[in-house]
Amino acid sequence: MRYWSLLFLVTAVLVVAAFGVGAFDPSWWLPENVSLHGPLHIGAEVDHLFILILVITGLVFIGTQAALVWTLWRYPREFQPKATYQHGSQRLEVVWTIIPAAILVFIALYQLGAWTDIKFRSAQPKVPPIAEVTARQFQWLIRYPGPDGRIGTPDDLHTINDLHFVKNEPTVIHLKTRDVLHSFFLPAMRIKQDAVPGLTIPVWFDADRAGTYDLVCAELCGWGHYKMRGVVTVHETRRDFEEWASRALEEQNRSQLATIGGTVATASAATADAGGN
Amino acid sequence: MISSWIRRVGAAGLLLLGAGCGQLEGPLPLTYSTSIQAQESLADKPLLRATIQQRLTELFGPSPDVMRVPPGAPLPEGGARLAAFAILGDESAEARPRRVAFRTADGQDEPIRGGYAIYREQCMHCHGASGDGNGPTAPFLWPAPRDYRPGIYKFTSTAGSGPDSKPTRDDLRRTIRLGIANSSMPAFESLLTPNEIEQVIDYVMFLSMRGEVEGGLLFLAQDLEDADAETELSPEAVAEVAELVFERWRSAESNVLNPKVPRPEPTRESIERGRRLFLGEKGLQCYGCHGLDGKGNGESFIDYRSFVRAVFEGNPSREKILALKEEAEKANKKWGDDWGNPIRPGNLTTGQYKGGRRPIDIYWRIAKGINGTPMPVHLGSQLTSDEEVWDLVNFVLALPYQPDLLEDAQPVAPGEATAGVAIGSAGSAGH
Repeated sequence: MRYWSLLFLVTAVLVVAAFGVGAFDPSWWLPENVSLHGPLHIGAEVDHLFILILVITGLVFIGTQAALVWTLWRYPREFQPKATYQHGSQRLEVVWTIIPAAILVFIALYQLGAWTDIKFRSAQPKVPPIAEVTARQFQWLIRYPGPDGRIGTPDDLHTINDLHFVKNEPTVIHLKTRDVLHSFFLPAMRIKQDAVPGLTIPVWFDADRAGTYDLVCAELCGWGHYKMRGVVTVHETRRDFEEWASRALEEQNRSQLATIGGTVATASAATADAGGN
Repeated sequence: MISSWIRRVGAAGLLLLGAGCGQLEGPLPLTYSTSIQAQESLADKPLLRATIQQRLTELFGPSPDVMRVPPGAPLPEGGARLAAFAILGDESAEARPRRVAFRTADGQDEPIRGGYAIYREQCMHCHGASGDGNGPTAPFLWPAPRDYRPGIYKFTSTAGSGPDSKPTRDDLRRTIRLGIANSSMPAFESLLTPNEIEQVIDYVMFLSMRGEVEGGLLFLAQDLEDADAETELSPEAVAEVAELVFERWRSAESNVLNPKVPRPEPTRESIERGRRLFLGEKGLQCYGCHGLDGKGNGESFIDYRSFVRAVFEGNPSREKILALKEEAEKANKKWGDDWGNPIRPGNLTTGQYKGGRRPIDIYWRIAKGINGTPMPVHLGSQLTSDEEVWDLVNFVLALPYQPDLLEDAQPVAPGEATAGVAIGSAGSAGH
């Protein structure tokens, strides 16, 4: 029955090959990273740690799978040696305890810098928060300071699921929740922070490319968790951001209708045959 | 089964099929629920019930999966955006459903999923297959999801009240895009494309019109006997009922209440005038429901304790709601909305506004009330001018930031002189 070992061999080879494809095909890999070259480069640190840990665990995986396959191949059922009793090998046990422990201690120490940069209050950029983000079941309520620069005043701009900030600027938000635990997750900026009832938590991030990205909830928060998705717009310049904010504020202060009704899109029926019912 | 049904269809105008077979495989075939009134008032009149059912099927199709758009229904594109597949025009034996497409700006035809498919995915679990607000997740929610069938929408911009004050497409669009604050209605702007939102609006209107026609027919039928079914509920009579419903929807866009003057600056004087209106100067009793402190605890409403007991303690049940209603009626207090669900008056100190926070949204809430709730029409009754509404709007928008506006407030008797009233300090911006 030694051929069973080939099944383990093929599985291990396929898993390693999948990562090999992933390294060359972006659609198999992590989401786009837009926090590489900005002032904070959080994304660069996070991806570096990810790759390092992937390489370490990958080498261990290949080694253990090789040992497993070799053992299955070398000692099949037909081999049938006579069993003998032995107490074990203290030297071997010490070796296989110390090596993983050393690796874990290394990772624990090596990641301290990244953790400090991302989570320690001492690393928080010295800029006023761009917005206060309050999670609730099931949306992100976002409140910008408005012209007076202070949050909590009548001129604040309120949006829902719509976060805006500026390219290459260290950006801080204050994160709150009105009900249960949520998690503020910007995959493209490699930042994730739980929102905890009763706490106001500063979160900082940046982006080196303008564009639109996802804001998602990364903590199962109830039946509508999947609906808790926002759009992040990174503006090219501060001026673009301010233009957007003043337009949004103008709409928020609307007291008369200019035009009434109207539709956005049109549909036309019947282009291709519907093949079957 | 679907194709055999198609062959039986006469010259009905337009028949639509639900979105692609693959997407339609559900655990159960979806059916429309029948109104509760049908079971009660027509319990012993099977022929009337069957006739109503048949007329509804002729007009709107037999099930959510197979829709028909009645002639004259005010839906854009003749209702083609309701589904992914459609048969257009008069039915003929060789007619086949065609894929509905959306013509993009650069002239490409992109197939659409159709309002029904999107509704099924995003809305149905609360609002139900018939739009009756009774989907599987509905019992867990307060405020209860909207039942579209009476054709009443709370947050509209059109004049009138109740089913006469239909939402414009823009009203529905805003509700879907931004959700409803302090309720379970989420914002869909980042979940759906603008084109998909338009499709959902079409489908909500379709369900609403179907429900209203059903309600109209039940109203007609309540005094009839089985023998009258053929004559009184003839296709022509039913088409007249449907036309009344369609006309109300059609007129919404031209019925919008647009303030004649824009909102004046929220000066201390304007806010103070609004404050006195709130406290009853012109006979408005805002404080009766919203409370003298603006926290939604007024004397005219059933007390908070009883409300919490009925709505939040233990498992939700119809009996507890009915007991609350009885308790409120005994004490001559308000308790719920036209759908029979318990509600609370808005807390005006939180800065959260269900129908939107733009001044014009607050204007509509005050000027024309909130349809289906105890919040009445004010413009044209106690309030006579746009300026007065704007004073109240300025007061309401200032209150969350100036909590001392209502400190130790007392009702103002109608007509009382305005001299010597303390003005809340305009600069105190609270959190």
